Amino acid sequence: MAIGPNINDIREITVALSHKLKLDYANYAFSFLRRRLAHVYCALKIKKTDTFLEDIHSGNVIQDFCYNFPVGEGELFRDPSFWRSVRTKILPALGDNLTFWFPELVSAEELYSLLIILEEEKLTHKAKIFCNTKSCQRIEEIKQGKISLKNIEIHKSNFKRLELHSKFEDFFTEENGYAAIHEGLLEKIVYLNDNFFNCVPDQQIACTLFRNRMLYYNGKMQCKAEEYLQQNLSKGAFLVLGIKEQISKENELLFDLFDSSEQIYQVL
Amino acid sequence: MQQNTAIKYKAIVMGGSAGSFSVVSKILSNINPDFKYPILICMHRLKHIRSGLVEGLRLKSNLPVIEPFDKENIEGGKVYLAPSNYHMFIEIDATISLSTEEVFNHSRPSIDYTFSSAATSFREKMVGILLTGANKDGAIGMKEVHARNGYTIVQDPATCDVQTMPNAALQLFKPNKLLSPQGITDFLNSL
Repeated sequence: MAIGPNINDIREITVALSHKLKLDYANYAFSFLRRRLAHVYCALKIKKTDTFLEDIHSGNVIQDFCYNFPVGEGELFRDPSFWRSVRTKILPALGDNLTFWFPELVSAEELYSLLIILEEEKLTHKAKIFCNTKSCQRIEEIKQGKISLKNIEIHKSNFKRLELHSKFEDFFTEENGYAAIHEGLLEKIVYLNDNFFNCVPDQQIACTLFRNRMLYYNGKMQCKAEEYLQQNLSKGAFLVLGIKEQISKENELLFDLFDSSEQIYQVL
Repeated sequence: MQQNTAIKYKAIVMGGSAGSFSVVSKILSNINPDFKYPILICMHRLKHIRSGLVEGLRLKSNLPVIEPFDKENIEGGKVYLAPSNYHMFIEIDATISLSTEEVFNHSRPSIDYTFSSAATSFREKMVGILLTGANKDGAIGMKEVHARNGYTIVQDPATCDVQTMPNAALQLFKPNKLLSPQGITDFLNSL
């Protein structure tokens, strides 16, 4: 467990970040901020908070921060039963409007999982996928289509549980310590280089994948995010949360629970 | 056993790995049905198997066993089991927060994370119990519980299926008690 900034430092850091990134970082859960800033300090070898604050104000550290602060998924097809539901329940319900949105895309795995499901169903050519991320480095990584082989056994194990007709090797080629997803699958992605509170897709979205993102928000920011998403999605659009997340009590009248075991909601 | 009626706790926090299911099951099946404190349990478990463990514990438990959602309130007389493939943290406002942050000690959920966050939130108002297990996860977290004057119990290694976890803790600090599973149950029922 890494050592990070103290409480007063965290307050100053969140004020600086909020000003610079136009998002209220004070509304991340405090314990998460403490852990995650410790992780950032470790990753960026930050020794002094004053120096970090100067680098935030000058903008020098913003891209590195945006790359290291959010929590990635780390595995393809996390919760295979959810991805089976995407294939067997959500896609048939969408019809021809195959527009997807990742309001906070942190790592490639969740996006690649969707791309593979679409390809399996021969729907790639009809799809359009919007992804919000502030990290330019993350966008470049995703465009390269590479994932580390570190978790390859987990990826393959999850893939096997999907019970698809295709094989894992039909989508990935292993090369030089990476698995590279086939380039053709990456053509339907639109990157939005800002956070979702400041930048939304210019098209009607049919399904929004927001799994395990609100875990790191406090209650106030979760409510705000739910309301904002509801306002920007049309009636009947799907909103997917992590299997251990729920729409807050304050906003439960805004959504209908479509699949309780996978926390798939529809906008009312 | 001496009654600890003067001590008021906010929670009992338990961690265990290999061999701990039977110990936890035994404790929960013999605990007083009117036990008033919440019990938070972090056990190492297979990440890709969502169900089974909580249902197994429910079969014999005298208390309701829950796999909590994120931001769920912690209530007395209930057992909260860390969900598969999520870390479980305890917040100062007595809620549970879950996380998909990186594995720690090769584990998600990590016992160290649960103990450490509980120590920060509850300080001396908690009992930490470390059970049998095959790696060192939980030892550092229990040391933090001890450092913040929480009450610490380590399962007597002589009664463990695998001694690695309790022995790792015993190398770091001297717990308040070293108890068998039956001794742990008796202690809890005396609170």
